[in-house]
Amino acid sequence: MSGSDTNSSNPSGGTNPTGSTTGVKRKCKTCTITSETVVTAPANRARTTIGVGEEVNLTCSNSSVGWSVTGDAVLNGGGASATLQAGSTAGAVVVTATGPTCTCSITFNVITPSDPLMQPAPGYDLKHHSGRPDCGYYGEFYLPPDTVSFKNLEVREKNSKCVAEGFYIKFNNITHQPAGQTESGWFTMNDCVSGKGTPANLDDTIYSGDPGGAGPPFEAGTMTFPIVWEYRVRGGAATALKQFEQKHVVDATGKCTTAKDGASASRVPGDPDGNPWPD
Amino acid sequence: MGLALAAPAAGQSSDRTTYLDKVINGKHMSETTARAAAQLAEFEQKKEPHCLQAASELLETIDLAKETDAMKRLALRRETLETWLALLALIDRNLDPNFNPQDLPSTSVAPPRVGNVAYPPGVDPSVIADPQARARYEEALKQNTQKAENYRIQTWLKRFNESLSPKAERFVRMSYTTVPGDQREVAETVKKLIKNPQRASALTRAAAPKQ
Repeated sequence: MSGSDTNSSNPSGGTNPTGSTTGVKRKCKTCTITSETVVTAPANRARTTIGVGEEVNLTCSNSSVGWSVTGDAVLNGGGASATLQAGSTAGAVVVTATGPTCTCSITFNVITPSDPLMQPAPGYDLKHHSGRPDCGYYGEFYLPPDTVSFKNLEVREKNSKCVAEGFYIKFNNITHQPAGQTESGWFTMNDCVSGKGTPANLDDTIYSGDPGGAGPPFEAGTMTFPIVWEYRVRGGAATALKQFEQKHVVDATGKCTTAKDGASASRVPGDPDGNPWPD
Repeated sequence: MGLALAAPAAGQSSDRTTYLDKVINGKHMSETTARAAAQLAEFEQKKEPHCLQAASELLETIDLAKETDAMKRLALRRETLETWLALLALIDRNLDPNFNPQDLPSTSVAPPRVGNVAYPPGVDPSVIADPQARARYEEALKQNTQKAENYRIQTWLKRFNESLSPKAERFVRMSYTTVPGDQREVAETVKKLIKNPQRASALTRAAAPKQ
């Protein structure tokens, strides 16, 4: 993307083909800023809508410029090139290149992640023990939208307690992580995936567990964890994403359904064993 | 024979480590390089990769041309070079060449199944009655945490190695001339701080006279 020349008129009204600055003011030359995102995904690297924390390489057509920025961003570099890294807040970031005779600028629209997307990871079996009402899967975590990159972010999952009843009553109030910790460690992000968003470098181990007991028939029951993920930019303060649920449901036939953030998978007791991770 | 060869190398390594420590923890004339060095010291202490990026950003703000005193400018240039190279040396020292980015960490681990009972992943170990199963689970949790943290550190180190190395080389290229004194300063500082031969070669090439 090229930014606009904001001072292309001749300030002196005269011309100076030699470019000399003696006596006559030099004719203002045109000046443009070209931008290219550092990451190669999304494919449109000339876009000016970028994610929080995203980096963009900037080049000015005039090599003798000083760079400045307004908005939440860090700008480094000198001469004809500079690198912009968006901060942690959404909004406009304006980069200006100022030379002896011209000024040009480019405006970026910085956006934050929208609601997280979770789905079963492809290539793994569903977790299940034949004859038992249990089910689970490895989950993938994405930060939409897929129009920008959040590769420079990190994410983590907060600890929480479940509410369980019926079949799962034995698990009521257990924690999603060891009781002494308030959240997981931070996980890095990867290259943006079209149609999904920026994936976290993790496998989320999502599983109903099995409180035991004979069946079928099984006592119907549900177990629900409130789930909150957070993100941060460049090691900064954590920002919470929209809360969703991890829910496990068993019916009298022993059909188990595990759902997290809308995505779900089911198994009935007669299904074969599945072991994406060892017991 | 192997030991006889190893001994001088170890001594050499110790000398270089000492110089690295001096750059990271010693006094700096420049407030900016001092702050950058403090970030490197914090990285050494906490292994927080973002400290390396913070150090880099500080070093990038240094404009040698703004220092009007020639002697101070030369000292600032040397300090900046040393701090850039210390940053690269820390990346080299901590980057695991065998790191496999495909081996993703998990958010949590599932406790061992005991009979027909299996708790959901991540549950507090205290709920597991069987002491042996509990001990196995606690160990698995510990290893998972370590794997996740190591994955995070290695991911950032790999990225920073790719993004910061060209910046350090650019500093060398733009700040040092082909006069023998400049060439010598770069060569000697590289020798003191950089153990990675490919890195040393790249930095020396950046300073070398252009063909």
